[in-house]
Amino acid sequence: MSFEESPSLDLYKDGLPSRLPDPSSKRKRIWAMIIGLAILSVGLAFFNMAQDGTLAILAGTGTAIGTVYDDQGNPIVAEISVFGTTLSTQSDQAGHFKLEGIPAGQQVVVVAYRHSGREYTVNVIAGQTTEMGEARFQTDDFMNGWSQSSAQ
Amino acid sequence: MERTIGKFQKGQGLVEYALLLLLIAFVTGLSLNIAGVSVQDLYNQVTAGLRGENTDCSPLARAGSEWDASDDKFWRGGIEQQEDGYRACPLCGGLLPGFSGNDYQVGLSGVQVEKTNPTWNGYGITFRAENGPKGLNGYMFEVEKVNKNNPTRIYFSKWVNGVQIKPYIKMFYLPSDIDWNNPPDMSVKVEGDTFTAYMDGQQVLQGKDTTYPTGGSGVFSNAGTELNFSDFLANSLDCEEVSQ
Repeated sequence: MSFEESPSLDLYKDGLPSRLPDPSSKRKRIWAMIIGLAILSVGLAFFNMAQDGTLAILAGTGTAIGTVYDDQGNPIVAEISVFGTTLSTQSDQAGHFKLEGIPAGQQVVVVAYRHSGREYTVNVIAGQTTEMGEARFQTDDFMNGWSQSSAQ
Repeated sequence: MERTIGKFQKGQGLVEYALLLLLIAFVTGLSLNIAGVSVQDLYNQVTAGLRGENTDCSPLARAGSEWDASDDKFWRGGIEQQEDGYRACPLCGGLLPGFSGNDYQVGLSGVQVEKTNPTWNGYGITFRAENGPKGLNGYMFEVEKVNKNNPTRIYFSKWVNGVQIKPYIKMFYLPSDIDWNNPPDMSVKVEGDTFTAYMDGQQVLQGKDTTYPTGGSGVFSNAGTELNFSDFLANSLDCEEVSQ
């Protein structure tokens, strides 16, 4: 019997108890705690992976396509990226873009032009292409000091 | 033989306790990570507390001779230390070097501006920000006057890879213009997902966003303004002394 499992003398001060203490009960409690914490760890690790996108990578990748227009409705060459990743591409002269290898799940796609950007939340499905539709800038998007001063 | 078994059982008990402690540490670490609390920050705070630091609300970071300027060609320059303070040329900015945190308050004081252009006057504070390989990532609070025909506005904006995201997180047109000859000091309190801006001690704007949980802080000027200021500092939220 290990030292931790030794019964206390207090248990015997009124004579022999009717039910002798189970020397393995403490060990059982510790193992129950270990198993409980292990299950909790797995759950938290899973949640953590979901939060930082690792789970999405494991779930596979998909593709997003769309078309970018400026505030006048003209197709533009813009930069398209996925927030929190290094994935990026440019739209062509017709404004069309195709971004492959996006981790599956809810992703934020940033469409940028002349240091202004718009965000689009896209539900990317593994192995599938998601049509984002039109990404259209507004006149106010380019109302800023740098766009105006560079135009002067 | 019995002695061997006894030793084995005792050793096994220690292994169980070690396993239990390991799992408790693991669960605590994962929980803090999910809650967005950096274990490193927590450790630094605890050690600073044990050393008795910051009990007098000494700043977490303060303006000095060095500023982190972005490599992004969008910015025309950084911040220079002058004899009586600091200067940011039009469309220039910089971050306090080596400073980063989750929740804090930052204050810009002794502000003077020179309008180098009749349009796009403004200045502001960058917070929870970093200079990434593609440009600035983080938030800004700015007071801005587009031109004489437009009222002055204040707003929180988000930046991703050197790009300002539209629409703004929160914007407000001031009912009356600020005195550009004696422009207000400003401070920003960053707490969780909530940002609160103050001008000359008065709360003027509050916004919310969850994109960036941590980052540094700095100062910038708009394209039509040269900004001069006497001090800029970051303090913990426990200290109420940052020019509010």
